Amino acid sequence: MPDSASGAPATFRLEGAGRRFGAIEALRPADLVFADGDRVAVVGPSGSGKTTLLALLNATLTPSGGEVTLLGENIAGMSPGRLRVIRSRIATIPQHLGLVPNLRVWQNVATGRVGARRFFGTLRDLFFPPKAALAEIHELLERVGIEEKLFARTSELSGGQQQRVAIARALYQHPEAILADEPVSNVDPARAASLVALLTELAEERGLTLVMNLHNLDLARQHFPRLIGLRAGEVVFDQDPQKLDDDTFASLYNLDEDELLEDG
Amino acid sequence: MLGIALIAGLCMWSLGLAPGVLFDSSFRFAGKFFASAFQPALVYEDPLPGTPRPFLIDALFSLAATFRLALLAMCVSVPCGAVLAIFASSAWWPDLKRHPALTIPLRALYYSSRAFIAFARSIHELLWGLLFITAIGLSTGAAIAAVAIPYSGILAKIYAEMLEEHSRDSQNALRAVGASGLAGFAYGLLPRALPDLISYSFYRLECALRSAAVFGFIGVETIGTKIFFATQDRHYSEVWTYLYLLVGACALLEWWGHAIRRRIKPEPSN
Repeated sequence: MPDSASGAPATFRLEGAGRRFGAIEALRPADLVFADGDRVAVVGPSGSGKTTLLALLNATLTPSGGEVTLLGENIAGMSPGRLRVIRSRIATIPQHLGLVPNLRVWQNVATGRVGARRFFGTLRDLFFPPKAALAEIHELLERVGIEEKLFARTSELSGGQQQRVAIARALYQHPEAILADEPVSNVDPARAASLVALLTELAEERGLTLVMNLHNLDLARQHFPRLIGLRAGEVVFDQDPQKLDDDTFASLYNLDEDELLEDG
Repeated sequence: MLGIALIAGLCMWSLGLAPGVLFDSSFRFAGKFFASAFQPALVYEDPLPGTPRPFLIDALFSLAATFRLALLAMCVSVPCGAVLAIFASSAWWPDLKRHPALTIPLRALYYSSRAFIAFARSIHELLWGLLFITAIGLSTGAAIAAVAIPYSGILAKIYAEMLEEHSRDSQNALRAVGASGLAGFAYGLLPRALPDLISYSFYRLECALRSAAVFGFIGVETIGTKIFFATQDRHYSEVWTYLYLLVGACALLEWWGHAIRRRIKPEPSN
């Protein structure tokens, strides 16, 4: 288990933090620490609480109990303005990407900085971008392999290409961490591996903390030095995948089936 | 179809109309009128002495005046409708749980603007026109106001519905990385809804053109006035020329709106 001494610097820290919605406990109170530069995959079946966990890590949800510390600051009682500043330092790639289809690719990348800019600043970024900004966007698109699509309309790109635009948008934010919610569930298996590899490479290159929700256990095992397994809102394991046996992995999904059979 | 015929029959019976009413003397008028459809005039049928401009040029000028009236009315309606739509939509609201003080003013704004929209929409522009003309006299300004009031309401209602209908994915994605409610709305939701908003506005412009033509019958100088006088003089061929020009103008507007929509609407990705 990773060191959870409260003095150690960490990007994200959950202390007894959980989240419930009415009677449903989406995430049971958990103690988790994500150190700077950690690359972590969160695995588990649908409904296990993966998205809830990510939402706690970018403060789009507040915990029902316990403490959440993001980038060294406890978010309890934080003003909305301060929360937005924290969020602008954490890049989130949602499952459905959230790109604007009728904007150009470079414009979608440019929206990455919307959290750090004032309202009309973003307007200028999207319609009268300075050359330096366009150059940086071009460089990022080059890094993710789609630089020729700089001026293309985003809706014309394939699913995998749009995924790369979303990654470029995340990087344009100059974040300290990247949260990715099931980035490859809508992509074919061949592309999925290269996308996951890309994200882990980028995180390592830039020293970013990366937390990625994944459905595919094999992908998670291959690319991440640390796996967190969730089942029904509970943390089942949190360690190096090489040290885990196949039974523990199987239990993540199998027990769910048994429970289903029991309920009849 | 049988049901429709039955209902029509019952309505006619309750109005005291006999089926023969469709075939009385107005039928002869209709016959002459529709016969002229195949022979639209290219010159004045009975030119008054001293009319300087040729018939077709005059007609086109009149059409232009009609279009100008419609355009002016839309120039007022679109911004008013847009502002009202924003007031009547909750898409741009910040998270009320984090800003509880805003709940009451925002909700008040929401409900009062919806009420205002319902009121503005409920009276037809012709009725507003007649009211204004009676109250403040005949003028282009009165006509513009008469069209702008209900049109602002209609545009606001449709704009607000479109904003509510479009996916919030982009807006939520931007908020997740620190965008304010307004920024998330302006850069996440608005661009998505824009093709539909523009498309509908063009449709309304077309409607405004038709309304402006009708206003010609109550004294505002548009192509409707020419139609009115030509009908009175029984110059049916002239009437048909005016009608064809109006139809042509509407078709042109529709084509233009379609072309613009194709340019900004995203094609589905493969």
